[in-house]
Amino acid sequence: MKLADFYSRIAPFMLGEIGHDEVVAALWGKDPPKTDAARLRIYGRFCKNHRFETLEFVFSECRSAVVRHLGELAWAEIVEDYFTAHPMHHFELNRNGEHFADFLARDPGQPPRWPPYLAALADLEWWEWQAISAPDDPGDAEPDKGPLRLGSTVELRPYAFDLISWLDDYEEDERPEAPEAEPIVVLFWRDRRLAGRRDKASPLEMLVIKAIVESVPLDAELLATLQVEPETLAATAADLHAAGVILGSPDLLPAAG
Amino acid sequence: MPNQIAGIGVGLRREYAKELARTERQVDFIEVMPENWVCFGGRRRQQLEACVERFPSVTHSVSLNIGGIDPLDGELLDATSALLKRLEAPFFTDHVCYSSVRGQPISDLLPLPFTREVIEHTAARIAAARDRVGCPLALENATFYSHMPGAEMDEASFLCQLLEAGDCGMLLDVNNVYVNSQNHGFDARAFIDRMPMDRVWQLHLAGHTLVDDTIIDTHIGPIIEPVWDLYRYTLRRAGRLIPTLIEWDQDIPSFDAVVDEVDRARAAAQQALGKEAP
Repeated sequence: MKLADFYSRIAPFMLGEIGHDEVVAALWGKDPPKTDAARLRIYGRFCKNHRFETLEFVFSECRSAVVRHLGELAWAEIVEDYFTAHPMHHFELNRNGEHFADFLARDPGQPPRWPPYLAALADLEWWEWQAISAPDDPGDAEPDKGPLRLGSTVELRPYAFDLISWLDDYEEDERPEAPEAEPIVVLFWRDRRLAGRRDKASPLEMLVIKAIVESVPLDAELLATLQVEPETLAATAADLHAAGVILGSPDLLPAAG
Repeated sequence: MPNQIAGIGVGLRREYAKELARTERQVDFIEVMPENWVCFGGRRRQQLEACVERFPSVTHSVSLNIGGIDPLDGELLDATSALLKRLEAPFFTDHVCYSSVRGQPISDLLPLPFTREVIEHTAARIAAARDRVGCPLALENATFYSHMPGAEMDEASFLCQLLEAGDCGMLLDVNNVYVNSQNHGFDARAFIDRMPMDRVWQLHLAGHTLVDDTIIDTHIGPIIEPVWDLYRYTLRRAGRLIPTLIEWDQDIPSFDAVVDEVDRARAAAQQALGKEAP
């Protein structure tokens, strides 16, 4: 058997497209060597496990929610369907989950095969992972120097469900079946100790972040626009700076009075 | 000038990276898996830097897909190259296997048919990988649970001919020799006797797990006595302490328990070679 022929016969099994009996017949015909044929199952199991591990590391809350309410089989179908739609492509395994939230958002099936909040939960887990893992940016190296700017990992994401309260206010086994359908915006960032963080963003925090992005000075003119007290703006900016969301010289932060 | 490795080392694992960076116990070198470190910033990058700053290091990847027919992964090769420069490492290693099909990485070490065609095909890819990375390559003998169809030779002959044709080094995994010998019923010492010791740049030791009638290369320790015995035999055959790495990748215990295996390896090397191991 030529090498190209070998791969064409065995690849569908390793990718989970055909079963053990089929690949044994494809490789050895009607009289396969018993032990070698039987042990081929080990590889099928390994490859399947890797597909599951790839999603379950980053999307552990998604898995937990699906398994708790729909069962292991439902999760297994989601994993296999995802990799059929978005085959593995990157040697860093977690990277292969980058389309999972989109996949869940686009194809719930009819009737829906997963709860309506699952795509949002996957998006939240993905961006939380980005805050933890994204490559370092030289611009973050001196957080107390230079102009005011956002940390390279800062991301704001809107959600139609209050996922943060649902995840953080309850132990997993006491959680309500679904999060409240309440719009929130979540701020993701890597803090000064290099930990990945996420929290609900307040309207004022979002306005301060917008001002930083647009290079609008945090001064009296902005105060008038935002209609907040100087102390409130100063405290918010200082909190975001201390957390590592805003970087730059502390001298450039607004004063309290 | 690359940092040479010597003595007994451990694989860099997230589970104990912080402890490894500040340990007072003797660890002579570390092995970094590019797939688990090169794409990351933040704390993981910080842990990597702390460890490679302190220990001589080599890389050991699982995704090179050296025997596969998909094109070599340029992004992985370039990332490995950059990491090797950062580590000032003397060589990089991967496995005699394939690990990708139809352009899809499958993150496992899958067995090749032991044929002359595979040797020719793989030898050309060894040269291509080495050229792109700009560093010598050593390949590890992998465990295999099934013989693939069409074999023209046994594993030992296949490995020897491949290493010769590819003109590359060998990472001889002693546990893999033991596991394969048990699963396929051959004499592990006779296998070691056939290995080209002048090409062996590094050794691996690990634990494994018996599942039904098959030993699985799980890298769950501790290392069992027959593997220690084969390790001592290998060192005596080589007549030198080949840099040896302890792998413990699943059900990882305390860091101290992992380094206890390093100490055992050092003692075994001393027994085998009759002199103080470094």
